[in-house]
Amino acid sequence: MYIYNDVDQKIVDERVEQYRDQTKRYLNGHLSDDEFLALRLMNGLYIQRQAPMLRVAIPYGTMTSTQLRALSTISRKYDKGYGHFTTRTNIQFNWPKLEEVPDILADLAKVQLHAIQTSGNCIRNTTTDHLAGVSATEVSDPRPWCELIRQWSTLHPEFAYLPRKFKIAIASGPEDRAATQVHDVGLHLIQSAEGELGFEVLVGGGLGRTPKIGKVIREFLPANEVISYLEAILRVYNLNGRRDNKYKARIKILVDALGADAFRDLVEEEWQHLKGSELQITQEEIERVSDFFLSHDYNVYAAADTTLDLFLESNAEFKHWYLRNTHAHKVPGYRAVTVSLKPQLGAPGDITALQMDLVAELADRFSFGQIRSTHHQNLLLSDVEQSDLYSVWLALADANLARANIGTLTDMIVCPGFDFCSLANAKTLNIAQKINDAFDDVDYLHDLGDIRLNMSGCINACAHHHVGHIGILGVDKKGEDWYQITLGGSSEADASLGKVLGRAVAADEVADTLKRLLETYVELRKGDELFIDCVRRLGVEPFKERVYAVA
Amino acid sequence: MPLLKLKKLVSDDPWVLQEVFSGKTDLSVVVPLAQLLEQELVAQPKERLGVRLSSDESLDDLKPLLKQVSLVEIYFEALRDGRGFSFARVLRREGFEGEIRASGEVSRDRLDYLYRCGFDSVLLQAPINEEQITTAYQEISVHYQADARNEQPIYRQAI
Repeated sequence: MYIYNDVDQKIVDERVEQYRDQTKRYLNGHLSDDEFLALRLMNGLYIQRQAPMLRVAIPYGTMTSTQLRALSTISRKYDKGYGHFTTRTNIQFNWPKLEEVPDILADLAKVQLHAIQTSGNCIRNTTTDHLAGVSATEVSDPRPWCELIRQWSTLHPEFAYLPRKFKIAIASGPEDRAATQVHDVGLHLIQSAEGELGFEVLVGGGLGRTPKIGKVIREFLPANEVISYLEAILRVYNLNGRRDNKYKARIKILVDALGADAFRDLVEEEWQHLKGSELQITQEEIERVSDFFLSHDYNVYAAADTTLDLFLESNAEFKHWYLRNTHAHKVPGYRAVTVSLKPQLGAPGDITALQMDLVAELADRFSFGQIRSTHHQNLLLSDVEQSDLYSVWLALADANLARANIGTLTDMIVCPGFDFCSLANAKTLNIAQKINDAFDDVDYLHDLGDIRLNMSGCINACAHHHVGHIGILGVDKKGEDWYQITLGGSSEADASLGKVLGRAVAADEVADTLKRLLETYVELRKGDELFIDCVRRLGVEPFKERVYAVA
Repeated sequence: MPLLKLKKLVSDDPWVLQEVFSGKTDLSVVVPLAQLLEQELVAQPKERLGVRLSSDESLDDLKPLLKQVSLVEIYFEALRDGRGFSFARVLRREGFEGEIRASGEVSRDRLDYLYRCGFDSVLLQAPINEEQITTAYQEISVHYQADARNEQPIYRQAI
């Protein structure tokens, strides 16, 4: 876990006072609405349907227990006692008061947190693999690189007024758990034939109105040139990206308009001025930052434990949870544990102050005091000894955080939708609830296996509906909420965009439609074929026939 | 319109904007890029010739003419139009040593970014006092990035 030095602390402290002054000038009438809008957005503050919404950065999804407790305290002190985790692994508070935001930021700064660039047309929080450092298949730990990018992108003087927002994600190895192919820039850690660490560089992925899979513009970038190369990409984008239409302003549109080859040529030409310059990251700095992410002091006898098997044999509920909500760890005897923020009742990604406190306590007792947020809107305790799993499960279950549904249909990614968001066209939370009610049989859910369901309340696609195995997009038709369903999307290494199933369905038909869809899958699957593989083998047609025939 | 030059308010600005160049003059004139592209302005000595480039225009069009001017004014068409920041960076990299000036939709909350990207002067639309200027340039006192004023990013700075 990265710990701030004096410079890091000074920057967030000064940023708090800068923002306090901006807020004061706005409230005094010395700063126009338009001007303040740009400034507050760059500090994560939206004005929403109900109240302002403040988005706090969780850089690359890593937090300490101290930070999570501070978030809990903030939610009680300034909000309604809960927060909402997003697909950018950030946390949102839905009810702060505009004039109290500077105080919230000051409280955040005390625990090395901030809301810098969590919104606005600038470089956003870099996201990465939630199993960074604990996955046995990673090429290298992505977190030091995320931190180096965080520092470079923070208050960058040249790239604060980009054509549109800009999102970077890093995959740690061949398994892409960070949706890198649907980011403005995707970086894949790789090793050259000579053993040198570097990145494969993709640009121009994205969702929203014009979903695109990113294109490779460089097969191998030496890792220490990542800042100079990003600077070249951003400069080319800042100079050439469209500014006449915000729906055509993302880098994916530029890459498409120029063609990937021509875009690459511009970047490479710009990079000739930058590579090997002072921007090259020093070995000393790489080591300094990497040292914060060294392996924990693991118990070498962890795998000798025999109690786990006993609990698994004697408790079916615990076993369900173990199979779905815990994940392989590079160290024998350890598991990574997903804390499910997808309960039977409640909005996906929401967490109460009490739950935050509990997770912080469990992290202290069982997982080196650290917590991660995932882009699937869950939390993760990354380093739990197998002998502690039963205790962790009991505590999580008691707090309604142990629904054994990770990776299943009800582990939905859902944006807040019309209930909170002023951009949304349709509600999402009521539909999520109906899906939860319709699929409450745990055995059936487990039989259906791995299914990624993503639901957005508008075309902006905050919940990445295009890359859900099942995607649901809320649309407004003459004042009523309708839902368009897509099949076959994926954000992983085999990334693909979903195809539309057929006509949109009404709000009260969504759950039944999904039921028929999944019954069709159960009938058509071969052996233990996964849903996504079945859709890829058969295409949308057989599903379409069955789903609409009944209606 | 207050003019800031190297972080200080100045009142003696020699430059005047001439939308249409009217022939050699003893004045220091700033002409739009289109004028510079269309007319032979070699008659006007470099010391007294500046060019105004809107953020909507192409920096590449200006590059071959840089040797003829001693001031480039970059006009920000909109608050959210950040192209000018990159224009200044590229101009400095191209070796332009004259004055780079920001005008249009620029204001107090962007002063430090403008300076760091290589702008020497800023033509502001709203009044500003000494205290506000000091705050604007000092409120964030350390920087992670290399910029036009300091080639060294944080990991090469001696702090």
